[in-house]
Amino acid sequence: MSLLSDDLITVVTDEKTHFPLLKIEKIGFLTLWPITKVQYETFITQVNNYGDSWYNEILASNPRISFQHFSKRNYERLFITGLHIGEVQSFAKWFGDGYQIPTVKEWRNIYKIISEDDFFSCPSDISYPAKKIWKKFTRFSNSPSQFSLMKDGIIEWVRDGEKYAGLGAPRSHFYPNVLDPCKDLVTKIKQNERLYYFGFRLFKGMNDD
Amino acid sequence: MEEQFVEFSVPKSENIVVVLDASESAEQFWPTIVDLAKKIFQNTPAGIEKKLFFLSNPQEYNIDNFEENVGSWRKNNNKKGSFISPILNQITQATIVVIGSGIIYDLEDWKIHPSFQNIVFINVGNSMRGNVELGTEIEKDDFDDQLLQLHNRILSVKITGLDFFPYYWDNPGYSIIDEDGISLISSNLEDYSIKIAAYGRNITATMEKTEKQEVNSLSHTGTHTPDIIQIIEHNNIKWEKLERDEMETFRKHIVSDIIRCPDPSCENEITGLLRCDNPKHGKLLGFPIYPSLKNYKGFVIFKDNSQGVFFKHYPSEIVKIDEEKVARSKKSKATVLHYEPNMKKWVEQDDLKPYHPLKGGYYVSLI
Repeated sequence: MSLLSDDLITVVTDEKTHFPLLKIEKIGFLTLWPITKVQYETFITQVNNYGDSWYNEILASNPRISFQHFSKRNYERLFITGLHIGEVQSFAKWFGDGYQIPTVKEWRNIYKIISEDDFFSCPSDISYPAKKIWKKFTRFSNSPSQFSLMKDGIIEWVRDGEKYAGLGAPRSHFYPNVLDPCKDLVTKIKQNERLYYFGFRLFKGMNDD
Repeated sequence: MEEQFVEFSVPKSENIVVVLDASESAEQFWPTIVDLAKKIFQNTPAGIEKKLFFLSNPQEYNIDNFEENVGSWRKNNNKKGSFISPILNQITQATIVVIGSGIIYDLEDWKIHPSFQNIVFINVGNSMRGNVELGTEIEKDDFDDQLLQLHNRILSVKITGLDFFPYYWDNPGYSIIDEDGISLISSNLEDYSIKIAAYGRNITATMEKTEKQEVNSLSHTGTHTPDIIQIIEHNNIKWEKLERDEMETFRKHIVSDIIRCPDPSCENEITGLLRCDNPKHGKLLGFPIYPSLKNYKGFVIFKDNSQGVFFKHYPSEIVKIDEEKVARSKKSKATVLHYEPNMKKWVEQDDLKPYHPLKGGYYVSLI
């Protein structure tokens, strides 16, 4: 049985990057996928604070793949990974008021809701890159949790009290440890370490404006 | 005999968009980048619009203030990475020149976009394209040659080939000439791009430019042989419907041995053009058989089906009417030609009948 009635999750479009955003009634907004490199690049071009050498360092651990050419084998390369928490927070601030990294509880709650939900409908006003990604992920995934990349995606930054940790269930060729996101938490993260498997998505609670 | 679709495509506009790389990877080459940009601006002929952008920034900069402001503009664009999407997202038709050094990260996103295959990358240090095959990348030492090319405007285009005989083209700025074989020619066009269905081999487009002549080989587009019905159905011209009495005339005409003027007081025989030349009508250009088509000139296609009789203009002076057979309109007359393999040329046969049947209930007529 679904935890929510059918119409409680809708997909809308974010105003900054025109990528899909889940609107979950009474809970909040969550980016449908982890933030992609294309989205982060929009941020880079608007803030004049990140140079080529910085981006080369980021791409060295998880190289860029174009949304035109990615495949089922390599889609993890679409997502921005290896950021420090401060770089994630700068993006969140730019992305919109109230957006931040979800807490462990928020992430797991939404993961359960999505796992029980139907497939989503694509909003007509998402950007061209988002449309291309949507189309391919529809072919690659068998369930809404796979489609949203909460399963078979990357490890994502989450807040755990005052600390930061990681949640997710990546495919073994991307991150070799088998994880159950409902039980396991990736901790003991060294500060200033760029972890190729760590990306993020953003969440805003319904009353966080 | 070989038959194919070929396409000749050139940028429509006479705009030049210069994109400067102010990113970290081009920092040490900045003086060269500025010098080359100035050379382009100074040598661009009047009448060609120039636009200036910086990589990673959608904002257009004013070239008139280039010298005084270029230093501060660089600072404002120095830490934005190297991305071309903010510029290409807003440009449709232009000659784009990027001057810089170091990889442009998002070039691959644009690789399959047909409008940007002519981008020129002027590499002043390290490659901007890497392995991405988009546009042309040249070294700064070849800049002077490239500069001539940038301002090398097309004055005219001539398309021809071995046994070339086009029977459909989508740019009305081109016309047929008969000089050492058939050619399509055009001059003074804003847009020389053209898609052609034609008989023939080794088809080339010769461009007369301000600096020199250039010859491009035109290759097949698509994998299938052109089909005249598909061409008629899928071109951009809309079908219109004949009026009820016109429909009756049409259906009577196509089964008659002798075609007569529908005016009961005339009944003059119609042999070529769908107009009656009986002076009693008092029409200098002849009395139109179909009032719905009175403003048309050239070939018209009719389509008869259960919903009625429809017509549309055929945009070219030549139409394919059968295998290795075409009709060509010239001075209010259409002549049927067929390919004579022994003589290796197209030979005139008869005049086109008022309604020439194509396959599947389609007819071609001359108005």
